This record gives sequence, structure tokens and C-alpha cells, in this order.
Amino acid sequence: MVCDWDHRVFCHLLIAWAAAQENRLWVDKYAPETEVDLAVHKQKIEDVRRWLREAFSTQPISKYRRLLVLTGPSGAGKTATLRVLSGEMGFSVIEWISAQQSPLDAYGYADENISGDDLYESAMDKFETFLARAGNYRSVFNNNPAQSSSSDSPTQNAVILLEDLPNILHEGIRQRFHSAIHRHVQRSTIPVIIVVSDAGVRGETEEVGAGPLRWSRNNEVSARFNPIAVTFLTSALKRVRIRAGAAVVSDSVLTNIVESVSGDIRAAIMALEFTAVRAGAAGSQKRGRNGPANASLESLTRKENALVLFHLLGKVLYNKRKGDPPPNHATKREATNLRKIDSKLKDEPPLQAWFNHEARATSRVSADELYSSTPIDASLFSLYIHQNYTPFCATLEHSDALIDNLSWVDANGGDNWYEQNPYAFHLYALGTLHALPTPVPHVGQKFYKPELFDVGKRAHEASNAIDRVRGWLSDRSPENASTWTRTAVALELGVVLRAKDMGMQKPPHGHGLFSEMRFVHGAGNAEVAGERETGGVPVSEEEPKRRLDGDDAQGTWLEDDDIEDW
Amino acid sequence: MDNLVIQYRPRKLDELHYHHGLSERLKSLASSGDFPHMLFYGPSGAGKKTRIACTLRELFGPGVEKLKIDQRVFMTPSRRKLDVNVVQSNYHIELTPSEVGNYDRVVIQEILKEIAQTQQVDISARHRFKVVIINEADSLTRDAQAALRRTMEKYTTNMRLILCANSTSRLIAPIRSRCLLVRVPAPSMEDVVGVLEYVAGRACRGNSPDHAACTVVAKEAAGNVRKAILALEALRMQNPLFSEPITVAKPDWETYCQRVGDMIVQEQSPARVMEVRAKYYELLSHCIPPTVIIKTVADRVVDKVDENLKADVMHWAAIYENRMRVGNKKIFHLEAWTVKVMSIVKHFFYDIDLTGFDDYP
Repeated sequence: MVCDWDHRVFCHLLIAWAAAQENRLWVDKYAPETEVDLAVHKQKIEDVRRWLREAFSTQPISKYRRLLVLTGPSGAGKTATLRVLSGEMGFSVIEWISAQQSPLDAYGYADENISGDDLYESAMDKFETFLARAGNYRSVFNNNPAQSSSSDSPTQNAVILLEDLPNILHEGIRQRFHSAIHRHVQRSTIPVIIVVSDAGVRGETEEVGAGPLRWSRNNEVSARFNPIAVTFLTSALKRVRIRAGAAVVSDSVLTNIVESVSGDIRAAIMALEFTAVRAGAAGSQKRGRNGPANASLESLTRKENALVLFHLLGKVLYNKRKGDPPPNHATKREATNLRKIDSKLKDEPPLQAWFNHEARATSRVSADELYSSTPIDASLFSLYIHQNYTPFCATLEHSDALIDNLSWVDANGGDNWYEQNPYAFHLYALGTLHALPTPVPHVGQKFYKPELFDVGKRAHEASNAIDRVRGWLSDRSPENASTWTRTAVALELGVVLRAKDMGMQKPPHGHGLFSEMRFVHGAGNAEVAGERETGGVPVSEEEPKRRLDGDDAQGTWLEDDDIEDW
Repeated sequence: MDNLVIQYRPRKLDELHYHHGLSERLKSLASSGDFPHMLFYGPSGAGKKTRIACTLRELFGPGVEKLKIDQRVFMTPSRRKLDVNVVQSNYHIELTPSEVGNYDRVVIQEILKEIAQTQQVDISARHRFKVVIINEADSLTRDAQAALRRTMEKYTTNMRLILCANSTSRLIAPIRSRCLLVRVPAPSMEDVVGVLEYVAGRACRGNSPDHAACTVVAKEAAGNVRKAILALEALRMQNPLFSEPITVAKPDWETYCQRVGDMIVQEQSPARVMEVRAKYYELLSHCIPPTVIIKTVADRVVDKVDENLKADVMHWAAIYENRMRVGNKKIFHLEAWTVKVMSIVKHFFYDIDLTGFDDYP
């Protein structure tokens, strides 16, 4: 009786499972199972495999193989590689799946009445718990319970896979995320693999990658996956076609798909399934006409063609206008192409005589097009312009017009975000184009990332230091608390604090963050922003050095310049 | 005790060293039964807070000096928690809402509502109302000021406000009109020297600085008494005997700003703009408010440039300072002003070259 019931339940489950299998998308259904099926470059697979082998080994090197970051555009086979290797090398993958958000979480706050902090567990809390548990406990389905507690068990290795990251663009969350990872890496032997898909250069990769890099140079390895090459993609698609029995999709359609997806294998397989289903349906009525399918294919697979930030800036700052001579390195064909584009541009209507100095040739850059293809918002765009404009200005007057425009647009929003000027992007772009000389002299300009964020971070640290000093003061007398506002401490107290440093009663160290400034010549320490972030710092010889305070200073060298100050 | 500023601060209106007329007026106000909302304004270090504290003492007696610090937690509508330190006695409460930036409205509303809805329980209290002191009232957001305005009308029975600000220009007119304006001007040089001699005489008993030394310190402080006393304190620590020569330590940022001003006057080119920008970033990352930066640098530039340019330099500083308040990205406006000044300075010399001889008959 019991047995029979069990059997029936089992059958139901089996049928449900089979149905689910049937209904799965091809992407999941025909996911690669062996390395041969994987469309990723062999070398890349080998890199990851070597890393994993080292991580699981008992060699001392495994200590440095705790954190792997896989980056690359979506559909480059990052996760698939891991899954295949997990089958091949026999380790289990513990994956973080952010739970279904309750409506409460979704709004970020609960109704005042039902709130209560104990009920509310943020996604980040859950994540931290997950990581702590995953690091400490083994799966209950472990075959070998005797060995499960010790880290040197060779049979059942595991990695933690993080694909669904918390919202790390938020400063607080990011810090918690980093420290959770850091804690894990220090304590646990289970390696963590973070998969980051970068959709264009939006800075998210750096946020994940650079953070861990900063605190554990040795522990983190990152591997970048490139878009899948055409040949790999074609053969992978053909394999899927055979396995799915979708012979209706012709080779020419296949080529079309491959061309349109720009190396995204997931999109390619989706498109393949889509065309196969359509062709199958159409085929029952009228065979052999896949023209419309072809046409819709493009709209289906086309990725948002975001301009890379680098090119966006180049377009604006090089300020190409109608009639500009083609660049020296341009081929004849490119030159004629340019002329053709120019002939399509309409001339601007002539201006009044008194306004003539504002006349410019028609720009080859259209602000509308720029706006629709930009990967960043107006505010960040303005910061990038501000960081980079000076080398593009031939004279001070150009700079003046340009920065005045930036300042004007910035000051023309309201107090609140919703009052902000909706045309800010256009105004920034057009104003910049108008102000720059034409043509812009080429003097080997480089693009830098805005320093403002770094400055903000340092200002934040300094203001924490101010608060510490204020706390120290008001511990002595509550009257201090009202006298010393933040500005007063930052502006006036520095002198006394430094004098006190030499005396007996030491104020909390770290006040140097706001009280000490040394004047150094030189121009900033911005990082070059390239298409590929390498993190190289080109101009840093005269990077302002901030002296460490108190305990920290004792272990460091004094430099020549410092000695006069001591 | 270690802080001269606090230690030798006058506690009663009678003990104040300067602006005696004002002290008299405050005294008679406090003794009358009809105490208004007040707005103290004037440059920093002129003694606004000292006068407020003295007035409170006049109003309520020595009980106001029993201070305690409370850390209060406020919740924004988006459930962000704000920690605000509040200094209070049985008779008054003092807060600096601008410290929480854009959320100041929340703090103002919560505190004022709370104060306004509670009656004074101390029967022996001289007045029925409690006093709320709001520091840095001029950096309150519009929203917060609007919130303040409504509460000022509504809850006068239980509460009086004393606002403290550097200038009235950033307060909305309805608030200004609801307050009694009290201007506390910066003291004169002699006044500052007097204060310094008083403090020094008490603090450094054996070897107090002579009149000349005090004058040097006072001159450096430019009417800011707090700064003067701090300088004295630093000087005492570095040079306990006050032996010649007296060098008054300046805050680093001030020297820094002045050198930035020099940079602007020395060279005018896009490359120099980059260098100056790096300096501004350094200043901003040390929590120096951008308005202070533009003011200090502009002062220096005005000192250095030709007579004909001084007005222009200040004119543009005012314009960009205003934009800075309205806009978000302070560095844009600082830099725009810098470039503008550079271009004015450059043109001044450039134009001399051009028009020099040819144009005149």
C-alpha cells in the first residue's frame, strides 16, 4: 500500500520532470556537457581549469586561489564553462540565488505599522548568511560524511558561484559585500567564483573587480571571456541544430544569426530556437519561405548597440564638423566616405552679423544620436567631459566657454532630482561641441576617468575623521559639541590639533585627513579610461602624498620633503 | 579642561567683552515677559553662540548650563536612519540640522513637533516655553525652511526659536520676518586684543604674552575671536614663553588656497587649469566647503591683480558662488570661475599689447 503510493508519487514527479525537461528552452536543454561542446576558446578553459585544480590542490598555492572573477559580455560562456568543468572535475557548485523578493523588499521599506527591524531581512543579510553557511557546512547529500568536515577531502570539492550579485553600486552594500567576501576568503577553503557580465563599459566590472583587488592582491584572479568567435559559434549552433532535430533552419539563416548576435551564444541559440519554431509552424502551411523570419531575426537578436564610453567622448571632444579635412591616416575610401557624409549634412542658416562669431560649420555629431546610444547618464557624461576637456582646447577662451556651459547647465536644475533639466545631456553635448575649436588639434590626448568619485570618497573619510574629533571633544565637555560644528572643526581646529599632536594629550589620530594639506605642484592623478581598463596610472609622479598619522606613521619611511615638516 | 575657547567663554551677558550695547538690549529682552523668536547673524567667530548662551542664562538661570548630549535617531520616509547629536538642557535644545544634508526637514519637523507638544514640567521654571536653537540656519534646505516657517506660527506658546546664521540672505523672507534680527558684527582689532589679553592672563599665568604678541595674533585672526583664541592656544603649546618672533600658525587650507590664487595669477593656460583643478580636488577632499574655497582664493587673486580687474574678479566669484549653491557639482563652478579669471587676466595684458601704440593717433 505504502509502496504503491510512493510509486505513484514518484511517477507523477517523473512525468512532471520530463514535461519540464520538454518545455525547457534550448539554451538549457542543449547546454554543453563536455569540453568539446563548449564554444569557448580552449586556452580560456584551460586557464580556469588550472585555477580550479590549484584551488583544490593541497599545495600552498591553493591559499592564493580563493577568489576567481570571470568577466566578459553576456553569452560568452562564462557559466557554461564552469558547469562543464564541474562535471569534468567532479566538484559541486553552490550557487547563490537571490530569493524572491517580498513586496516589502521591493519597495525598500515596509509600512510603518508592520515594520520592526527584526522581521525585515534585507537581501544583503541573506547573502551574508548564505556565504557564512556555504563556507562552513557541506551539503547534506555529501556521499562521504566522514570526510565532510575536513577541508582536505579530495572527493567532494565545492565552489561557491555568485552570479546574482547584490546591488553593489550602492556604497554601503558594496562595502558589506566586499567585507563578506573578504571574511569568507580568509576563513574558508571553499573558493568563490564571481561571474560578472558586463553589458558595455558601465563601470560595474570595476566595482566588483577593483574592490577585491584592492584588499587582497594575491587572492584574486580574474579571467576575461571574449565574445565567442564566429567559427566556434557556427559549429556550436550546428551541433544544437542536429541535437534538436531542427533541420528546417537553413545554413544561410544560421549564418545570419551568427552575424547578428556579435558573439553572444545565448542570444544565438535563442534565435535559432525561435526561427526553428517559426519555420516549423510556417512550414506546415507554406514551405520554404523564411523571408519574414529573416527580417524579424535582426530585431530579435540585435543587442543594444551602446557606444563604448571611450568612443562617445571621442566623438564629442574631437568635435568633427562639416568640411574638416580627413585625418592623415585615413585611406582614400574613408576620405570619400567622409565627403559623402558631409554632403548629406545641411548647412546651418547664416547668422546676423553681430552674432557671427558664434557661427560654426554643421557638426558631424548629432546630439540626438549620441543621446540614444550613450551608455551613461547626463551627470556622469558631464563629469567625463569635465575631466578630459582641457587638452582639447587650443586656447583659454575655448576652455572658458566650455566650462562655463558645464557650470550653467549644472546650475539649471531644481533642488530635487525630478526637477532636473531633461535636456541636460543635449545641453552638455551641444555646449561642448560649440565651445571647442574646430578642428581640434591632435596632440595625443588620453581619456581619464573622473576623479570626483575618489575625491568624494576621501572627503567622506575626512568627514568621518571630523566626527571622531567632535566626539572626542564632546566627551570632554558637552559644551564643545555645540561650539564645534563640522565646518568649524574643518576650518579652524586644525592648527590646535597639530600642535597637540606634539604635546601630551593626543587627539584621535586621523585628523590629518582634514587638517593637513601640503602644496605640491603637478596636475592630478586621474586614471586613464580606456576601452579595456588596465588600472594603469600614468601621471602620478607628484601625486599628493598624505602623511600617515600616529601609529601608522612609525613604520614608514620619511621622505626628504617630510623631514622639514617634522 | 583643555580648550581655551570653552574654558574662558563668558557665561553672563555682563561678562561679555565687547558689543556692550547689544548685551544691554538682550538683557532687557530677556527680562521682559515677551521674548520673541530670534535670528542671530554675523561672521563666524564674532560671538553669536556665546551671546545666545548668555541670553539663555539670563532667561532661565544657571540651570541651562547643565547640558547633556543625546544621540537621536530619525527615520527618513525611505527608512534611512539618521543619527543626530542633540545638546540639551531642561530649558532648551540645540541642534545642527544641516549636518544631515538633504534630510534636514525630517529632523526639524520631528524635533519641533516634540518640543511644541510637551509642556514645561518644571514649575519653578521662569518661562513656560522651551528654546530651540538651530545652528547654521542659513544652510537649511528650502524644504526645511518651509517646515520651520509653519511651525513658528503654530507653536509659539510652548516654544521659541533662536536661529544662528552667518548671513540672512539665504533664509527665506517669511522666516526673517518672523524673527527679531540681531546682528553680531565682528569685533574690532582692539576688542580682539582685549579678549586675548583677558584669556592669556587667566590661562598662562606666569608668562602671558605681551600686548604686541596679542596684536600679532589678533591681526592674523581678522575679527574671528574663536580663531584668535585657537591661535593663541597653538602658540602657547609651541612657544610657551611667547618669545620673539611670534609666528601665528595658519590652517593649512588657508595657505593652500592662497597659493592656488598665486597659481591663477602667474600663468593662464589650459594646462594650468588642470593643475588648479587638482588643487581644488585636494581642498574638497579635506572637507573645506567650496564657498570658503572660492572666497579665500578670490581674496588672494584680488590682492594680486591690477586695480582695474578687482571688481570683475569678485563679480564672477559672486556669480559662480551662486551657481554653486544651485547646482550639484561644485568643482564645475570653481573651475569655471578660475578659467574666467584667467581669461580676464590674460586679456588685460593681451589688450594692452594690442592697443598700446597703433590705435592712438
